[in-house]
Amino acid sequence: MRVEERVELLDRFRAGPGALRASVAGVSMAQLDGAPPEPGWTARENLHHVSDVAVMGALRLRMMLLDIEVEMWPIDGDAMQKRLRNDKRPITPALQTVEALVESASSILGALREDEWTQPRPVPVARARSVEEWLEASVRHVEEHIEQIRYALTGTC
Amino acid sequence: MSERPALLAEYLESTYEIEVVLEELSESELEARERPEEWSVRQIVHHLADVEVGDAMRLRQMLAHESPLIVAYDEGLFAAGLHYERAIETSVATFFALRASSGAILEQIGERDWSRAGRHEEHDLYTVEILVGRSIEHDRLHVAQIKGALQRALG
Repeated sequence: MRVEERVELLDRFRAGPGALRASVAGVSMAQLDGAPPEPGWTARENLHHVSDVAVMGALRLRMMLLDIEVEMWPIDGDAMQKRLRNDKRPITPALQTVEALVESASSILGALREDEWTQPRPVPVARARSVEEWLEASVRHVEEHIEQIRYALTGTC
Repeated sequence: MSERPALLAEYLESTYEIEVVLEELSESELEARERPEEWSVRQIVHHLADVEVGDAMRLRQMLAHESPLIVAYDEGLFAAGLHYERAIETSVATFFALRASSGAILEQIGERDWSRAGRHEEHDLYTVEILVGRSIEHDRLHVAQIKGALQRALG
């Protein structure tokens, strides 16, 4: 990955929480919990999923940087929705969690040496084998779910 | 009567002491240590945030999955490899945001969910309730350590 590509990706990474917050700004409780046109998660559930995956991503980044060789747990999104009562959880703590974790990860990433970005890691983390790949996957995940939130709220992507 | 509401309240409120002790610390205070071989205040703050990340994941795993493996961390490794010389602001925000977010989950779960368990690498029994209790103890331990470091810095 070229340096400019990484900078662009970091910009998108840091823009994610704001875009996520904007996607539900001014939305009523009924809209937040309204079923999408096709079977899928509501806006609230999508938002909690982003937050919970951000927690896992934050831990995975740390494990990856430390070369801790443990099997990283797969995430069962539907089980998490149900067992964590995501249809009932307030969204403000989830939004704040995503914001804080992105800033914290940015702070860690900002301190990395060049070799730490690209060094292949012994254990792939969610199929990512380097910090650069972790960043790409994290950006993609947030952006995809913002699209799903839009779809849940408006029925269009 | 269940003691869990009181435990949850303590879990959420125990962050208050951390908030107070970290107010307006100077750069030299952030480098203070209780003893030369111990962590600086700055390192303790990053440690609190990293432990909170791990605990937030453990909580979610134990609630969502059946008896998940709970990996033990080497805190020394975290401190050595995660650039603990960084500014503390993002770690402070991470700690408080995650505690509030995990607290919001605990407020929603049922009584039986507090007994959901994981297979901890180092402990025979590890449940949601134990995780919450240990978090409170962990907060206390490090608040005392930060206070000790700041007191020592004052001479």
